[in-house]
Formats: sequence, C-alpha cells, structure tokens
Amino acid sequence: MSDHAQFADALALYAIGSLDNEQERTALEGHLGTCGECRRELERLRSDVALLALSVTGPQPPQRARQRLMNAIAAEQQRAPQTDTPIVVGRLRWRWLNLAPIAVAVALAVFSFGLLLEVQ
Amino acid sequence: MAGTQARDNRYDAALIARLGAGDETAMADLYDRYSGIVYGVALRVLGDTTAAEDVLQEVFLQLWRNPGAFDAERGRLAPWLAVIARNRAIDLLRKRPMEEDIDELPIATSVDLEETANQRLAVEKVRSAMQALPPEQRQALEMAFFEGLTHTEIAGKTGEPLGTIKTRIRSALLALRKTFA
Repeated sequence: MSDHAQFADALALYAIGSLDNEQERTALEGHLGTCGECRRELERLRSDVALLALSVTGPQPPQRARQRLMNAIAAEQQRAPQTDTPIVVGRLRWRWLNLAPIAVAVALAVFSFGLLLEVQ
Repeated sequence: MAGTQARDNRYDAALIARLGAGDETAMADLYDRYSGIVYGVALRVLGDTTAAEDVLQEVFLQLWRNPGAFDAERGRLAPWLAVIARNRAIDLLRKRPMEEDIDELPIATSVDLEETANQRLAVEKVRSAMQALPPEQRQALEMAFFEGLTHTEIAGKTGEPLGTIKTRIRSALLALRKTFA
C-alpha cells in the first residue's frame, strides 16, 4: 500500500476536523510535511468540505440583522479615531507597571544590604 | 466561465480592500452577497435563529475589523466565510468562547459562488449530491461537519467501526467533488 493510500481516509477526517487520534494525526502531519501530493489533496478536500456548507443555504436572516451589523460598524467607526491616544497612554502606563517588580527587587536588595551592614 | 470567476473574485477582493479603508458601503455589499450562506450554516449547526444571528454578526464584524485575514490570491471569499461561520457556530454549540481572530486557511475552489444565480445553481447541485449519497455516508458527513463530532464520537453514536466511519466520510466528500468536476 502506498503512503497516499495509507493516509487517504485520515486525510479526509483531518480536512473536516474530525481526526481525534493524536498518534494518527502526528503521523499524518509528518507525512504532509514531505508529500506535496497529499498537501494538494488536503486542499481539495477542504474545498469539498466547504461545499457542504452550501447545502444548507436558503433561510435568509431577518432584516434587523443587517441593520444591527451596520449600526455596530458605525459605532466602531466613531470609536476608532478616539482610541489612539488612550491606547498609547495605556501602553506607557503598562510599561511603567512592567518595571514595578524590578523596582521592588532593587528596594529589597538595598534594604537587605542596609540590614547586613547594621548586623556587622 | 473562468474569466467570469476571476472577475468576480477580483470584485470581492476590491470590496475587501475598501473595508480596509473603512468603507461601510462595501460591508453592506458583502453582507448582501454572503449573509445567506453564513446564516444558513450557523442556523443548521445551532438550530436557533437568535444564536445564528449572533454568529452572522460576529463573522461579518471580524471581517470588518480584520479584512486582511482574507487572501484573494489564495482562495475565494464565499467558502472561506462559510467555514468560519461553521467553526464559530460549533464553538457556540460546544459552549466555547468564539475565536476572536480569523485564522482559517484560504479555500480555493473552482465553484463560482459570487453571482447570486451561480450561487443558487451551486446550492441546488450540492443538495442533489447530498440526497444522492447513501444515507449512512450522508449521516457520517453531517455529524462531522454540522455537529462538529470527531470520528470516534460518530463511531460511538452509530455503533459502527472507526474504519467504516473514516471511509464513509472520505467517500462522501469525493462524491461531492465529482458533482462539480
């Protein structure tokens, strides 16, 4: 049996996201790394899987769904120009916060050194 | 036909580029072209109109926020959106938080889904192909795709051997492919 034939069924499961055997998946991914033909077949299978989605196209979303989306987008548009400054300020603050543990460590070291001098 | 497909793909690519520039009318256009596909998948997975509407909203909002996630050079928009919708709906079904980033791979297909008339034709073809499948193949395929079950779970539910489930899913996918060959 060729490698392609050996992995054919597993490849289909992999394309649809249903291959849950860890060992089998690792072996398949190893094979995919070296086999262009199986990589191409995987792409074709993923395209076949996507066709499945079409079989249930039909029901239309309610009209309000379109308006809801457009409202959400308009709201994001309005927020977008204002987000620059606070984000930068936030990042600066975050950077200073990152230094906090170092500052604490330095303070502790100085304190310990002071104690050591006092003991001696 | 191939020329029409390339042109339609370019039209989608242009709409996506306009999203990047913050053009809301491009979003409205994309929604009108593909909301039926996205909503249909979400509704089939979730069986609930409100939840399906939430997935629809989320998928298009993610596209709005990150239009660069779609690579028109490597795939087509309709099947890509359909797979994202399916994955988000499965997340919701399994009560997992919905992914906020779009990391689904592009999907190259020769099936023309951009024009409404072609979309309808393709839907009819896939439906007939699904109906023509042996029932046990169709069942395994639907359990994997629309219920998000692994092959072990499908084998457990149907009482069939693992190998049989694997073969059924592959045969069913190949039969779908033949419909558009």
